[in-house]
Order: sequence, then structure tokens, then C-alpha cells
Amino acid sequence: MAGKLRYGKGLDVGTVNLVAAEQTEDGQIHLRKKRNVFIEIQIDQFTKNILARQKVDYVQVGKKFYILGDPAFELANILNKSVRRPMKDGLISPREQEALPIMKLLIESIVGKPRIEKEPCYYSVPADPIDSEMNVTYHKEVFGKLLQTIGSGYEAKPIQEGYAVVLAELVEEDFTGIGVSCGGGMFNVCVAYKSIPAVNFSTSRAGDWVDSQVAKSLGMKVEKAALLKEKGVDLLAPKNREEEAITIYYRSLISYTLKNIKERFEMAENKPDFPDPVAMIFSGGTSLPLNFCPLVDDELKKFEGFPIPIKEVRHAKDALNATARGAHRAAMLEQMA
Amino acid sequence: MADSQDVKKIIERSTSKTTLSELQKRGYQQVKVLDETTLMKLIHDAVTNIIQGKAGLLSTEDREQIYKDARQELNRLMKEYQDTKKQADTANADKQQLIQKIHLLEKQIEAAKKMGFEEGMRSQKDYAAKLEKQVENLKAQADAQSKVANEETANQLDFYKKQYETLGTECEQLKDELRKKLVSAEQKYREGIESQKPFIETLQVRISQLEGERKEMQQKIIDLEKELAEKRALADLGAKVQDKIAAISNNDSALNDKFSSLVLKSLDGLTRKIAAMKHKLGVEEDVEYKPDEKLLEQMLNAEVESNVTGGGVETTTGELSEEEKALQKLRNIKKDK
Repeated sequence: MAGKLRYGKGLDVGTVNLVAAEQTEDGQIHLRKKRNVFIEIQIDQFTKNILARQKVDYVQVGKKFYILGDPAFELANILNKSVRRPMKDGLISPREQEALPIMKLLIESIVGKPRIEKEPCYYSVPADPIDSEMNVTYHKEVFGKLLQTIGSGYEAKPIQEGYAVVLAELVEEDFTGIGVSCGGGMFNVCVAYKSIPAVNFSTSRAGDWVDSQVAKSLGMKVEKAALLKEKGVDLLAPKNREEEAITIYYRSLISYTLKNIKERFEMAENKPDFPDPVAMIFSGGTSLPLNFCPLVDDELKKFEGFPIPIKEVRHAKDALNATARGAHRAAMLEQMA
Repeated sequence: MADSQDVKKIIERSTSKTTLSELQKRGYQQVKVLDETTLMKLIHDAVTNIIQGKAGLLSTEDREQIYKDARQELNRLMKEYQDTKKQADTANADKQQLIQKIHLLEKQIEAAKKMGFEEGMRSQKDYAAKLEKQVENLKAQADAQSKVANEETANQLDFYKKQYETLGTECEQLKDELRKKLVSAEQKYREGIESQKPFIETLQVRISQLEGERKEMQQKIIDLEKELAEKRALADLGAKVQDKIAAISNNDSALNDKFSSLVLKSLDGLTRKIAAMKHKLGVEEDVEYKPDEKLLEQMLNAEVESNVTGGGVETTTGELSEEEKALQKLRNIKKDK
């Protein structure tokens, strides 16, 4: 093994996926992922045995049965039911309290038990939303408590998603720049200077917002609009009416985000003075369509008086796992102390 | 005709005379008869035919040789026949001797039987005579005895007769006495009855009273038994109620838990609503909703049954040295701050 084993784990609690990162004894960084979705079904012992044989993840809480992960989508199609997402718009809903044991199960399956006493585990939380009344505290408390109840208990600490992206992707830039985590429910933004977060906020406009707007304007179902987006759209060269609509709303989304970065940065106390232009990093599934970053560039050019000089806009090296890796890095750093 | 003479002699020698009755004894009822002349002719014809048949093919010497051979063969056969006949005669003679012997023996057996029978008869007769003598002796004895017995019996009979007469007289006397006593007793009884009548009447009244009381007592007993049965039923019911109470008290803790859980959930919901209302009303104090710790713990520690495994590792990243460099950089930057 090269180097010393560093304890500490990172957890990205995403609306769509849960991702955990840890360093193993062979020195590798391991990432484990589970889909954050389930469906409630009625089954009997016979069906339970079939599920177990087919290695379909299920959980029984009291008298209720739930199928977890990707098979939940398939079953939802077959049964013409909707899947349940314990998290909406980046946060756990207080109304989904019955989902907590399931979330614990899912998280424990990817995080595992603490390897040392009070092993630090940094878990992602959204920053305070600026355009909604969503309760971030509940989300923070729930996952903090959850991690404390796994095994002998982690030393659970929250880390804002945008900041996790900064830690994961801005190494060469001395952790200076803008990190944006583009989720389905929220965009999380962090402007940091030398690893110190100066501005942290989130907006409720994100991937799901694009889907719903496209669906509304084109008169189609949201699921269909989401599918169109996932099929692959060139944001700089839309081929048809649907792709055009997607591009339009993406532009709107990016513009909205840039506008809020400007406003929040200007409002911030003790905002840093950037001597050099900084990089703007985008991670998350919503940033994956083709030419997303050039589109941001394009919007930046149109934007007058952006307070932060931007040298480049780029994707995270590992766009879907950047938050987890950033959280993990924060946990390992703590171990280095 | 020397040859024919030889054949005649041979036939003569080869045959024997017997009577018809002999034949009948042997079981022959019918026989075929062939006279000597016919037989001679048959033989002559047979030989002539044979010889004539072959005469055309044979030479004179051959014919003569055949005659010679035939004659020799005939002589041989005759000799054989004679030997056999001799043996048969000898056997026959032996047989006759044996038959004679058998007859003799049979006679002897008869004689012996007769002798034995006569002897047996004789001894039987002697034995019978002996027995007869014994019987006569016994008879004489029996007569003698019976004579004695008869005499004794007669004496006894006389004695018993006398006894009977005596007893009869006594019996008559006793009867008289009894009659008298009965008469007097009856009289006394009547007198007694008359004197006891009032007492008897009193007793009868008392009896009827007691009868009434007895009936009352019986009824009371029935009533008491009913009452007892009711009380027993009540006691059983009481015991069941007690058991239920005990069961309920045993379930108290479970009920308590459920109740407290319900209360906590209600309080939690209420707190959330209040926080939301405060936020709407623009209350300045901290309006963030914090979930109750106990409730959270309860929800997170709910018993679940599942087959969820850790899942496979989705991604691994190499280059530990890169990670180490990043960590070192981050630590140094933070230290500088």
C-alpha cells in the first residue's frame, strides 16, 4: 500500500443518488452508490423469497414492504404506481418520516460501520435556499442523527454541497473559485477563497425545474420532458422544438444562478477580493448535457458586471461523485490534524 | 424235402402245447390260430420269394450261398429260441414250485391262526369263568350286605317314624300355643292401637309438618345451589378480569411507548406548523424547526428486516499520491490562515 490509510468518510445525500466515499487499506478511494428511491408493495413470504433469490433489495418495516433502488422504477412501471423519493428538492421531507429507517438502511449499506471510534463522516447538506422556505435544519439534524446511530456511531458533520465541490475540484487553484453542484432539486453554490467559503447559498431552480417548465411549455408530461433531456441534448445546437425548449430553460436556469451569485456575493460581508480570475466548476447530473459549460460561458459573456473574474468554466472531473469526494476530503483532512 | 422236415422239427421243438383253459387263466380270451401246414407254406413262400426276387440277379453259386447262409441263420435263431424256451420252462417250473410253497404256507398260517384263535378262545373262556366267579362272590357279598343294610334301614325307619309321630304331637301343641298367643297379641295390639291412636295422630301431624319443612329445605338447597353457581361464575369472571388487567398492565409499557411515540409525533407536527406559521408571520426569532431527538431516535431505530447488502463498489480512483498532495495542500492553506 502506498501512503498511510486515512480514516474518515464522505457522504453525498442526493435527491437521486446516495454516494459514499472512503479510502481503503490498499490506498484506493472507493465510492459506493445507491439509488435514493423506493416503492411500497404488498408481498407474502413466497414473493419475499423470490426477491431474495433475485437479489432485489427489499426492506420490511413493521407490516410494510419496500423495494429499493433501480428495481423500484421497474416495478413502478409494471404496477403503474409512482416511486417514492424520501428526498425532494435536495432535502428530506418531514412528511416522509416513515422513510427514515429505509434511508438509514441505504446509507448504512454504502457507508458501512465506523472503522475507528468516532470516525468522522462528512455528509452533504444544501446551503440555505434563497428562494424558498425549505427547512434545511431538519435535513441536517436527521442525517446527523442517522450517522450517529450506525454501528458505534460516526462523528457526523455537515458540509455544504457547493463547498464540497470546491474541495474536490479546485486543488490546482488552491481551493479558490466557484463550485456549483447542479442537482435535480437544487443548485448549490459556493464561492471560496483559499478553502474559506465566502458565499454559500442554494436555489430551488434546478434540473426538475427545467423538466417542469419544458413540460408546461410543450404540453407534455414531466417524465417525458425528463426523458428527452436524458436522451442527450446539444445545448448549443438543438435539433428540434423540444430540444430548443430545453436549451431555453437551461439558459434561464444558468442566468438565474449567475444573477443570484452576483447578488449574494455583493451582499456578503467580508467578501474576498479575487486578484486573479477564478475557475467555475460545475458538477451534478443537471450539468451533464452536451455543451453545458460553453452555454454558461455564453451566458457569462452576456452578463454585465459579474463581480467575480472567471478564467474558465469547466465540468468536475467526476461530475456525479464530486460532492462525495469533497466531503471525504474534508473528513480525511480532519484526521490529519 | 429235407429242409421242410428240418423246419417242421424246429417248429415242433419251438412250440408248446397248452389248453384253452390255461390260456383263459392267463387272460387270453381270443387267440389267432395258425396251423402247422400253413406256417410251413408261409415260410417256404417267403424264402422262395426272396430268393426268386434276387434270382435274376444272382448266380447259382450265390443262390446256393444264400440258402446256406439262410439255413445257418435259421439254425442259430432256432438255437436261440430253444435256449430261451428252456429258460422259460425252468422259470415256469420254479414258479410252479413257488406257488406250491405259497399254498403250503397259507395252509400253515391258517392252521396257526386256528390254533391261536382256539387258544385265545380258551383263555378268554377261562378269564370269563374267573370273572363270573368273582361276580358271583361279589353278588353274594352284596346280598349279604344289603340284607344287613335293609335290616338297619328298616330299624332306622321305625325309629324315624316314631320320632315323626312324637314331633308331630309336639308341633300340634306348639301350634295351639301360638294360636293362643297370637289371639292374645292381637287383642293387646288392638288395645294398644286404641291407646296409641292420639299419639299416632300427633306423630302423623308432626310427620306432615316435617315433610313440609323438608320440602322447604329442599327448595332452599336448590336456591342456595343456584346462588353458589352464580357466585362461582362471578368468581370466574373476576379471575378473567384480573387476568386481563394483568395482561393490560403487562402491556402498559408497550402502550406507553406507543402513546409517547404518538404524542411525540403530534408535538413534532405541531412544532413544525408553529414554525411555519411564525415564518409566514415574519416573526424575527429563530423559526427553524428542529425535530425532537427522542422522536428521531425512535424513527431511526425502528426494527427493520431487509436483504440490503453493501453493494458493489461503483468507482475506484487511483493515484493515492494525488489525493495526498491535495490533502497536504489543503492543510497547508488552512494552516496559513
